[in-house]
Amino acid sequence: MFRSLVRLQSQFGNALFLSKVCPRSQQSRFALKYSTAAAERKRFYQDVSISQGEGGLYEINLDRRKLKTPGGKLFTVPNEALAIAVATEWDAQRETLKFYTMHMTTLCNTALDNPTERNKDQMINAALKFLETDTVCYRVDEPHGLVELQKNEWDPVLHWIENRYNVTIGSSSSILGPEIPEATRDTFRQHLNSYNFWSLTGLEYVITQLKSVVLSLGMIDRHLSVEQAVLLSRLEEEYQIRRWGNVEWAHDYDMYELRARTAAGALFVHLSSESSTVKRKLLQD
Amino acid sequence: MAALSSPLRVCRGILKELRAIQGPSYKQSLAYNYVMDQFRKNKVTGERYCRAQQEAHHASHTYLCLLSSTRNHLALHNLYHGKGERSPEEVANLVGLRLPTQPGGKGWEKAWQTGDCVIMDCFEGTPVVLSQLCSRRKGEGHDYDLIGSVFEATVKIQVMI
Repeated sequence: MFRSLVRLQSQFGNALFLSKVCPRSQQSRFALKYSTAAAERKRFYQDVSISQGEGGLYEINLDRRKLKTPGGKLFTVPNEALAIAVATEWDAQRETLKFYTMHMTTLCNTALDNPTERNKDQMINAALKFLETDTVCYRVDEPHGLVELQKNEWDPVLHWIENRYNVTIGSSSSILGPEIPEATRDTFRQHLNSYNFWSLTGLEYVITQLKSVVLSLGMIDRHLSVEQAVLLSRLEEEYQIRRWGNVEWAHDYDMYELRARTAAGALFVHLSSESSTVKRKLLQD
Repeated sequence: MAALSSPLRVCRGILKELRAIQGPSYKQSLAYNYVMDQFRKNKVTGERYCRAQQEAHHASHTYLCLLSSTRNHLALHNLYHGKGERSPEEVANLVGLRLPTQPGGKGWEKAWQTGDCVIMDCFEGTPVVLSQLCSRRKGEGHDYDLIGSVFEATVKIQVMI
């Protein structure tokens, strides 16, 4: 008995010893390559500051070190406002880094690294794909209350966007959805083409969050606030909540996450497309 | 234009969020200076329609939404999702049940202790400590030996270590 215990211990000790030497190096390599949101790192810095580097681009400094993207590039953003928003996110971290709360940083990383290696045309096509299955175009036939709600809430936005871009979209309750004319798609394609790569990244992010081109453009064009856009995107869920009750750990959790992501996307689009012109105007005042 | 709350309210909201993030020294932060600067620059100077001001208002509202939603989301995350799996007691509690803590009924004469061998008595349908079962059977006049008793009375053996 005692002998077997000793043998067991020695085996165990060996295993421990091995785990100290080899798997750890493997693990750290893994962590470096895929620094995911799941693996929480300690906050390894005290101060966060920004500085203007070459070409007028802004950089983020954590203590003395410069922030880099997961792809290993230097983290640079085109204007001060964006840099401050990112720096504030890094400053907001407590003991551990919670990457799932750092939406602006994530968006900048995506734009800088472009992990899926797509060009503008591919991104525009991906964004416009959502137009065929746009949330606000799909209506229900029953229950009556929801039909009314969708009509009252979604129709004004739909009309607004049809007037704003001079296009026809329409809505339908069939499973195939409304027939969207090619002219509409061309108009939107042309419009999206006027965005630069960064704002297109943000816009596509917003569209995938809200599952709607109409609501996203309505928000980017400042017709809707973030809260309104999120509410309209979750209209059916809100209807069910009103009927069956709210569950904080599911409904509210989802809503705040969606709001945060949508707001980050919208802000990212604004800051990376228009901020410099806005600033010049302000300085003239 | 969406109906947004007034710029002053938005400004105060953002400052509140910044204070929540950075604590009392938030006035030295980059974001505080930038936000105050922007709000001062974008004050309404007259009745004229000023697109830049509307843009700034919408952007500030969006930023406020980002900060407050992130904070709320994190709070809910820590409350409900941040602790990993719940313990069996908590799960039972959620649906209004309690795990048995007090031994009761036949075969529960004494709660088992760490190191006891506990078996399921298939006649009684209750867990029982093996040594107790043997002594009880002997007391009842049966003369089972240990192995026979186990063979007869168990469907499942759980060893508590």
